Amino acid sequence: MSQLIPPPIKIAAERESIAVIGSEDANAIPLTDSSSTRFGHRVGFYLINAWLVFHLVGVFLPAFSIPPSPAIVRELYWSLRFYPQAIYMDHGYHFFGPDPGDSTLLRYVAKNANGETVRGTYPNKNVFPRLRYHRHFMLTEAIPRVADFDESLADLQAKSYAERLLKHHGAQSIRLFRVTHRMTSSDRYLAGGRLDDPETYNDESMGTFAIEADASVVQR
Amino acid sequence: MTELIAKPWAAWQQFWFAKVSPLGVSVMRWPMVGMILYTHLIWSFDFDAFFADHASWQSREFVTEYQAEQFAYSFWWYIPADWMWATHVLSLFLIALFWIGLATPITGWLCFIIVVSYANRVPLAMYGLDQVNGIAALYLAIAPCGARLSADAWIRGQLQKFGDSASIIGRIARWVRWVPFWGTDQQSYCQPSQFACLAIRLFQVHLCFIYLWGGLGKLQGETWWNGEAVWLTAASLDYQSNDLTWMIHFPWIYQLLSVATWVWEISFSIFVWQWRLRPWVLFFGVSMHFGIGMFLGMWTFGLAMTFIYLAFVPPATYHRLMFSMTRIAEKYFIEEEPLRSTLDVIKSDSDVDCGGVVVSGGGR
Repeated sequence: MSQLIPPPIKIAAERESIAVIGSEDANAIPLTDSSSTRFGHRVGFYLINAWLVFHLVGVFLPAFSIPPSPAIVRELYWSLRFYPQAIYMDHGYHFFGPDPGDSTLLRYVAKNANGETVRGTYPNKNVFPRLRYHRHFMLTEAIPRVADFDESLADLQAKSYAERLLKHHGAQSIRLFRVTHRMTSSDRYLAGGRLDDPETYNDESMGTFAIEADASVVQR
Repeated sequence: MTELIAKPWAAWQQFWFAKVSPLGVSVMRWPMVGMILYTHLIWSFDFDAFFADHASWQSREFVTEYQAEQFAYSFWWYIPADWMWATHVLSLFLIALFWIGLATPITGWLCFIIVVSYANRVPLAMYGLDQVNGIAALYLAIAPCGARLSADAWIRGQLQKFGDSASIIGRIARWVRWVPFWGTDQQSYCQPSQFACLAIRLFQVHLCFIYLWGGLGKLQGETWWNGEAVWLTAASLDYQSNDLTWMIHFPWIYQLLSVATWVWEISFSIFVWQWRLRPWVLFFGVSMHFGIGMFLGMWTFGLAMTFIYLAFVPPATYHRLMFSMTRIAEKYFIEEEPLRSTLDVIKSDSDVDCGGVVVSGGGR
């Protein structure tokens, strides 16, 4: 315990006393019952302790429940998930794990009422400030995640993206492509490969969407 | 047997509920809430594209289905279309109030509700930055982060100054004193607080969780083991903001960084509690996040993460810094008498406000 406690800091000579709670220093102020009493009612103090334990379990479980994980942890998480989800702490924190993955972009071909065609790739990396790019990029990065989770949800997602692009371009119909940009390994790069080689991109159709007479968007 | 329970219980209380100066959490409020404000301000550029009910990137229909089995709440579902922009501006205003430290016991919780509501309205556009913002908003709402360096502290000082005056200002001051967090004198707000300790500990322990799972998650992959991961990340055209492909000629760099990353992340939870190692552990973390910001363009995320490091700075250091800064300001910059007297208030506030006792056990 004493290893975890730093030596007392003498900030200024004028200080009458420097108390280091938790240290074994002679000046230490032990945490007594009276200080707990000052903190509020005893019951309130125990309730805060109970909440604290629950909170720590609540924020630890979501990451622990990510497979591969024990079934019992996943079940416990499922029972308690209301708490971390309600306070927006339902996160796995597996940044760039287990491996840095391929990127996902969106390509589209939109047609307006005059038959003019607009082609584009989303997101635009040149938007400023950079945070905006990450917001848009996260939308396309979520495409494979949603597709792996639920196919019907992926269809709704594609429809939602199509609606936005149709409105943005004032188009009547649009065809979406999910673009997987594969990573370039060090071996491939050393052999002369480039980060934007066409063969590192793989297009997969997400469907064609059009605006109907009643202004609704449907997949064709 | 009683001692077997009593000792861990005392240690638990000591760890979570020691009394520490609220100066640390007050300092943390500025960069953390500043980042929350910036993050939400940036939504203004694409507000309709993300938040409108119709033809936005994430339609109501999609998000409702996506969150079907989740306990995800957002006030955005209850705002009429015509009031969306007004609500956004009001949200920014409330966050700004919390940032400057006005009515923090109220604006703190409102800020947390705002952060959660934005995140749950556009769940697919969220990433690490928003997770850290959520953590900052909740723990700062718990903390007495308006005790110092805040509009609240200034108002309390002014009320004390003019409270006894017979003038109109004095009468207004006495009326405003009815507001609970302005009525108490500033001195008692600066007393060491158990909630300050609780918040600082929550920041510290949560950061340990984040890095622990970040490291353990990487161990499940192959590329973090064989040292290729940092190359792959750096060579991701869609992430990179500066070219790092020169690293291909120095494979030892990316191989070493790959392994060092997860070793550091996993060991963070142990070594950051060792007093002598802490500066080095945090220095590595700052360097890593600086690198992510510099080369992957994620400055906001990197900064937000390093702002949590402020929880590991002992309160005594903040007191010392504040005292030094006011002395420097006094010596070189402040000559006018009115400003000098204001400075005296700040100086006395920074130096002896906690009853001459600096409690530095918590927050370590």
